Amino acid sequence: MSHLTCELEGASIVLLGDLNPAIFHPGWFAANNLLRKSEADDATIQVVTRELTAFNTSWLRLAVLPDRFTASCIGADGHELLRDLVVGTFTLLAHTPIRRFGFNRDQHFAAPDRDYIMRLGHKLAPKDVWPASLQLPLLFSMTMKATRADKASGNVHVQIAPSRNLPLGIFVQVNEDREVSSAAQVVDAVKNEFIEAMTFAGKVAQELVAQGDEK
Amino acid sequence: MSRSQLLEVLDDPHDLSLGIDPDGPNPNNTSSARRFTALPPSPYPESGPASDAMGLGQTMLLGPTAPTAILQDHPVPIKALDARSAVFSAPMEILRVLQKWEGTVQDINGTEFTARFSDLTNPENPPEFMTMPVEEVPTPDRELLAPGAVFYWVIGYRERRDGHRERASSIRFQRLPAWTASARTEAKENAHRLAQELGWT
Repeated sequence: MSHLTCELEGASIVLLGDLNPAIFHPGWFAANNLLRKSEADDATIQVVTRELTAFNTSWLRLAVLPDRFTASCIGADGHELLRDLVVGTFTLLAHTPIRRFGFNRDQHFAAPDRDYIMRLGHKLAPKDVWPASLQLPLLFSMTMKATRADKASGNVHVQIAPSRNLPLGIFVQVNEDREVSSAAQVVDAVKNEFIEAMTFAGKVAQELVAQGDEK
Repeated sequence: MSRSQLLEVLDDPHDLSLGIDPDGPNPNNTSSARRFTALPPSPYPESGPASDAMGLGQTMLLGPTAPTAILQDHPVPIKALDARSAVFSAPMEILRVLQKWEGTVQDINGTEFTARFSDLTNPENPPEFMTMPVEEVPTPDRELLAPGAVFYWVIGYRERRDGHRERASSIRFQRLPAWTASARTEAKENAHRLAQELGWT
């Protein structure tokens, strides 16, 4: 099995619930020791309002809507920082009503050539079952839903599609999500499971893109 | 402000990514993949399918039945918005990780400190102890340097969009909120209760 190189990657933690976007100002994170003061001072603030907060730092992209909190990072070096930021945030905001959360790892793999991508697409979505009246059927995007063999609850969604960021690239996103009843449950899950979820996502993506191997 | 307008605000006007159209690899296509704007108006209902995607009452026609190979009624996954490009809004440089450790400060001796390192890249490796100069710690994190403090040490290649690559080492200390008085009290009570259960008191 060949190992394609993951050229770009990111991760995100998404929470759904009832949130107050205006709280999530970079200064609030610095005041609570969750970001360096210099990071908060240098953050690119797109907007901070009651309806939406969005800002970026050198490693973090944060967006909060009244029903949705998203913290993302670029690169595999930020996983622990992302985990700590979300754990710290919702330890402080322990009474925030949170109903669901998701862990996402997004990876862009460089394929060796166009044939590799074609083989992968045909293997994942055989074309001989599609009506002959459709010319040149090609896989645009595929999402598979599953559960993890080693976990009792939650869903896994794996999406595969052409990368928008790499020429001859393959995008794989592995998402795990679960329902919860409190912010405390989210804090526990992020603290104890997020890094492992990233490892799992990396293995799933590698196994999937390896299906383009010539055998 | 409508939801779609809010999401428009998130769209980065400085997106420099050289995307390819999702309908086929085309390295010559330099149009930026636009983010968020292609979302349906309310893509994240708490349950049930996204109405635009499933439409026409398909779920009602098919009915909630035992799982089939083709997924039927199911909550929308909790993903970042259009992550295919959202996460990668023009990263001018990335750190390609070769090795990653978690360190715990053991003691500090003037200009050096000793730490216990756990290998995060290969967790089966045994922990190691190493002494590092304090000046390796970034200035904003030096106030966190204390016995017991946790930090992350990453070694890799920093790669720029123009292809430039250099070895890089990055240290960042863990940032978590300070313990509150009530949390300390609760922890003490838990420790006391545990000690009693173990017969230590």
